[in-house]
Amino acid sequence: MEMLQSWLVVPFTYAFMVRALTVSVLVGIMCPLLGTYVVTRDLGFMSDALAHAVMPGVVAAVLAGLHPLWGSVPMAAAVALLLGWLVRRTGLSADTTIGILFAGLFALGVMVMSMVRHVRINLEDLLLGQVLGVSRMDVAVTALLTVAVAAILYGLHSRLLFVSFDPLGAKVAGLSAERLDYVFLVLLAVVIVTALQAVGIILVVSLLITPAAAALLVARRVEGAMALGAGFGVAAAVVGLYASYHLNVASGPAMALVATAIFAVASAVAAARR
Amino acid sequence: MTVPRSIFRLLSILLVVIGSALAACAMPMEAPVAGDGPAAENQSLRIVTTSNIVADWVRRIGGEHVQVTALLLPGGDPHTFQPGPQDVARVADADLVVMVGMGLEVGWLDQLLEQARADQAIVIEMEQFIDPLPWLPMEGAGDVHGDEEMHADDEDGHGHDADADEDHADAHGHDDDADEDHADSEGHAADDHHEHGSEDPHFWFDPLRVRAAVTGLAQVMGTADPEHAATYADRAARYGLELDELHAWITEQVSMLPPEHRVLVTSHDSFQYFAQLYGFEVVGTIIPSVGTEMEVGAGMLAQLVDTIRDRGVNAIFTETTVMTDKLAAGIAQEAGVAVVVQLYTGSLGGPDSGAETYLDMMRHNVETIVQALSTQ
Repeated sequence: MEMLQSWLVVPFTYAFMVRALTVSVLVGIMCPLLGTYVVTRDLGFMSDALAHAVMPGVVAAVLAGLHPLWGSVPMAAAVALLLGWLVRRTGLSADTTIGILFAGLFALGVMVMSMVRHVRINLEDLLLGQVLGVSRMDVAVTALLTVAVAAILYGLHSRLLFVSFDPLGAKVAGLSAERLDYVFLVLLAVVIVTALQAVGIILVVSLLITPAAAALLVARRVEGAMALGAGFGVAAAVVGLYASYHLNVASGPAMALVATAIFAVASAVAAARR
Repeated sequence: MTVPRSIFRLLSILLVVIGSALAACAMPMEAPVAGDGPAAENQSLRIVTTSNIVADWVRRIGGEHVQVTALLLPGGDPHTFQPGPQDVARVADADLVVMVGMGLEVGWLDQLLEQARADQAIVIEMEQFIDPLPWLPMEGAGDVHGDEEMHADDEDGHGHDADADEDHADAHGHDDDADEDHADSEGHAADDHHEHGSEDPHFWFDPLRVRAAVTGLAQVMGTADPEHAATYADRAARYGLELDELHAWITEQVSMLPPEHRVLVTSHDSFQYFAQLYGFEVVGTIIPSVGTEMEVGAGMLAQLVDTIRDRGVNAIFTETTVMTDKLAAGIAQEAGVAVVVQLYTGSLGGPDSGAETYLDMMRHNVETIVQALSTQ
């Protein structure tokens, strides 16, 4: 018992681990809340693309001596809006447009990094996340954004749901799906950028869609799925961080793997119920 | 709906666990849980270094009075190291953290150490003991460091005296945390004013600068552990003699090479100190940077091939810590270079490598270089 207790407690005798946990848990809550819409609207690829596309923004911010969030949030919002616009205005499919934009912007980010010699940016941290290095400032910003996103989602929930499940009906009812989509995309951008701290560009979808998808498999109502998804997200964050500590492995991949394991269990449960 | 409900229950249990974990952080605890050594060894100075080369020096100076851990295992690249949580925890636990500085521990690792150090520890950078060589590309902009400096001042506010001894004797003081007040027992021995990217961190290729660094290191260790200060100074001085010997030996070895053969092509720009001291010229590097995380451009490689041909270079030196073997082989083939050999540069070698200590690593490298360049 005592061993278990110290196994549980020791990692969080370190302030950096507490900061890492706080950010991870917040991200673990915030991602599935939005992720539930992402999954129901089939925007998984779009989210992955957004995460990759913020690269040049992050690099630019670091070059300018600013916090990465100053570059990545506007960048992600701009990309999200551009995507929405392109998909609506060109005849190309959403997947194609997304693929073009995300590969192009990611390439731009890597290229700028290789051109710049006097400021060194750690590519791996960017790709896989490094939550162990978050500052108190990062914790505060993350908390603030989590609250803001949750509040906005709460306010827009019924409309978002309407547009998601019954776009035609929403139009008839006079809801502007277009404007709502833009708001949603900007929210998505903010959530992704916040989650980057914990799991990095490549793994961000693992927190955004995996817990949400797992929850949608076992819950009956969307609201239930959101709550359950947030629970899964928190579990992924906490269990992942413990694993990361005790095995001394990178935290981002650990959390992503736990989320994947949760999904595996959820899909088994869902299959058994059929 | 049975499943979700039971999961909610699970969730609340989980939250209780997290909550109690968080609460435990705020509670004072008796047991020295977070340290690595048994209680009996609490007196010994716990030192964490980033580079395992620096750890070797610390071991020579500190011997049985210190517990030294290098974050980098042999063969790890200090430029791109990814620490795990226990590595960061070691940093937070340490009495003394020794970095190389000068941008070696890249951007976000700096930040990581900064954050861990907010918990604990005195951090010093070897940079302060030596006179670094500048590194060229300084084209303006990019003042990332403004806020870093501010941060340093901020920390100075917590008191400057390293009255470390007693505070550390009551072992693992950080378990009863409370961040701020804690900080003044910790003293901040080193001032960390530095401009990254404008200095070349690879000073360990110059044994004379290493002697200066080792002397400085012994002083800092003596301040943190006054009881053994004399021993540290003594051992540093003795090691200094070995470094002088090493320098003499290298000079002699290198003198066997005619000056026109003293040209180096390496994986990244890590040999400037060596070149300057022993009359070599670094004519080109595969990665044109003192860092290793840069992507290589096609134009630069072509240029390197031309340079190698023009200068009649007959050997390319790759580095154990930099993944350029494939590129090096390609360049060698293209430019008609006969020899491609590996040197230990950013990290000591593993067991049986013949480069397990700093002195062995240097001897191994010099022998390799002299041998490769004399087969013309």
